[in-house]
Amino acid sequence: MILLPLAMLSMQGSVIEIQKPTAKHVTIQAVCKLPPLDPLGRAAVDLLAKTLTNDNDHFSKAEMTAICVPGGEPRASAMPDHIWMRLSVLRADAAAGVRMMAAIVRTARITPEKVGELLETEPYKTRSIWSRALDSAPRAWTQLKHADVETMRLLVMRPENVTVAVGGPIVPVAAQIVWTEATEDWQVSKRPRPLRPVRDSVAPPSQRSGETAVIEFAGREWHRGEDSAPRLLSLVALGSGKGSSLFRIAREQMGASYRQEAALYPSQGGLVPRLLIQAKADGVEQETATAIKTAILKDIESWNDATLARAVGHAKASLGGGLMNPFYLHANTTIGPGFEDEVFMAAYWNAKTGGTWNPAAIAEQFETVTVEQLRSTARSFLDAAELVIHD
Amino acid sequence: MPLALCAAAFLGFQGQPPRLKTVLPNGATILVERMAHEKTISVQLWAPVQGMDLSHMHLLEHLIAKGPDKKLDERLESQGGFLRARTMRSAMQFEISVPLGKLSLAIGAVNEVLKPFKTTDDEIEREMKVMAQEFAQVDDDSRLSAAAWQSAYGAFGTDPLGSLEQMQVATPGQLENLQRELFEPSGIVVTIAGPVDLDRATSAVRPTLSKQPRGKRPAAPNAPKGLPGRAVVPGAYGEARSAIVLGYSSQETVAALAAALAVANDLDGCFVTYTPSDERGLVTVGRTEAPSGVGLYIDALDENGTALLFRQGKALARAWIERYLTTAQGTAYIRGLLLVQGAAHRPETMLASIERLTWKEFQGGMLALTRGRAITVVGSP
Repeated sequence: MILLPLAMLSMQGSVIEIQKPTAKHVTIQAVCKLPPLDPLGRAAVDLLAKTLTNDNDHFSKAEMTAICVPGGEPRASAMPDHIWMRLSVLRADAAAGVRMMAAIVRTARITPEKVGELLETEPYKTRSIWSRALDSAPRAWTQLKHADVETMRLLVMRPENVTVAVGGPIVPVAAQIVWTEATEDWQVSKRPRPLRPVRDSVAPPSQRSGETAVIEFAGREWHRGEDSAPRLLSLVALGSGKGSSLFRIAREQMGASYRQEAALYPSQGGLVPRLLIQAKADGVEQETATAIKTAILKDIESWNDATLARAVGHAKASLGGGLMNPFYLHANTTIGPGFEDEVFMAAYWNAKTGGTWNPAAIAEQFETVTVEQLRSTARSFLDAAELVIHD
Repeated sequence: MPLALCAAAFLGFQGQPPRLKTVLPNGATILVERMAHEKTISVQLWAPVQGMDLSHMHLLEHLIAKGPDKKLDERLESQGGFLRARTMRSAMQFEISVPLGKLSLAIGAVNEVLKPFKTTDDEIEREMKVMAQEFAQVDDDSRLSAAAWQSAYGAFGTDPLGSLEQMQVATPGQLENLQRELFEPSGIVVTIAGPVDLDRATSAVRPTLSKQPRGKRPAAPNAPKGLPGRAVVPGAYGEARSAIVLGYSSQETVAALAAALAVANDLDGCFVTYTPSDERGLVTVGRTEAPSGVGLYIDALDENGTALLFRQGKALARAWIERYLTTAQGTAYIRGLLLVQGAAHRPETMLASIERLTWKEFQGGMLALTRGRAITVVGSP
């Protein structure tokens, strides 16, 4: 039997191509790296993401909607370190889709009317406590002007910041050719000055308090080059999956929480490991958090080969976007197992690290981690973690 | 000779239909769908709950999902598997995802869930603490949807989340009996989807289901006619409109679904909730990011506005169902959800109804979401 590879990954200059002949649609994605952002910058980036997929110099929003498959219209969202843009088209429209993405990143029209409209609603949107815990960075909404959003667009939407990935039933190299043609005359303006610093302290928008709060143990940022295998495994052992310490202790033993997860959240410099525990607000106090931490530290001492085996198994599944994985790389959700996220990870990882997303290579490293390493890494995480209570 | 064997194996795989449904002598059903390019295998156990006392069902789900020795999750996760359980209005579902080549691991998990379980007052008391935490964190989308059901269908629309007060007084004997009733084989369905051989997967799970002891399954009640109205949810934020619909494949239902999806696609931050059912139900569209606006938008749509949404709504409805069928998890889910409600139910029936959807029917679907015909639910923070 001849085994055909299901997906052939090739990187051709600035466009990553992932061929998957069996995919129904072509997904076209771009990840734009962001500079360090203060509250004004975060607000500007949020609105930039909301306006990128409106009209541009080459396509109206209606035209783009008509070309894309239903549910695959252009969308964009912002995280602390990147803006993620994506759209899906039929195979026959792949070239048009690539041109659309080029038009979005190069010539999106950020109108004062649209910015004004968004400023009337965005600051007042209600977010769940979990969402607020994940992203608690303040935004300087009251100081934001249309010019700031346009400046942000000019600051970040530059060829050196944008990584494109195209996946699906595509012809090899075709996407690269179309992208090159569509961007060869991409003349970027002189880099504008960064946004002015925030004038006053930024009050968070008022959010109604609900029935629950989120306890967080926030770890130190992980950087490239640091040994990821023991850190990832210890994070999984601590908080990912129903065999984790968090689940067994905070939920099963203490009955103090229904939802508890480990999260790897993107930051400017890398990824931040976090343990999040959602609990009834009337029970969430310093003492509860301390009790959970004390109990987990004690639990770590009992970790053994079975603990390591579970962490390895679950971590391997997590790398493919399995259920209850810690990779919170999208707003409010983790990466999933679908093809769209496979393409996203190819683009994101390349943008973030300059390298290729290679889950198999990471999983191989897991085999070198010992139980003692797992314990000591977990202890170090908890000892240094900052306690935050989001309510 | 080896070449001939390879060819035979190749042709055998190629010659298989896409899926195989087997009904066992005890009435349990197995459906296997081969999805050669998927990277995981999904095995899902479905048990109907219609006609049963739902007051302790959610608590039972929590307890039996752990397995008899409470280490089922640890065993699964060590090999890259994961179990998730849900209680819905029509069924209880146990979903097990495993990596390639681990089908027996997933079937072993099904076997453990089906085993007669024992519990204690202490265990119930501990789990009720977790249950109280779960109740505290129910999001506003779910609360608005639950209020719409209650308003439209009264007792028939009871929230499968259950009631803390009722679950608190559950006894071990009651729960153990409930499990026996739940897993009476005539209603059970197991769906398997992924890169599996149809015959081998069916044979692998057959012994587990065949040994289920027969009992008596209560008849499912007929749903009453739903009534439009208005509900207020204290402490919640947002607004929703729910269209009263018939079974999943009726034109009225797909029209309402298409209309709801079109509205959600046009209005920022909306959610749409619909669980395909062979009984009357609700299609709900709402928004909890902002206090209101969904109702205003729907009621203000004129014929031109609705016409612009028709093509998009029909395409979105098609995509909504097709999305399930593109992954092993989604396929096992949608086929299991429908099969557990009746042997003839399939997502293709719903797709065919969507293909037939006319502009006039879509208008009817949008009308079903308007004030006076729908259930309007508002949060009162």
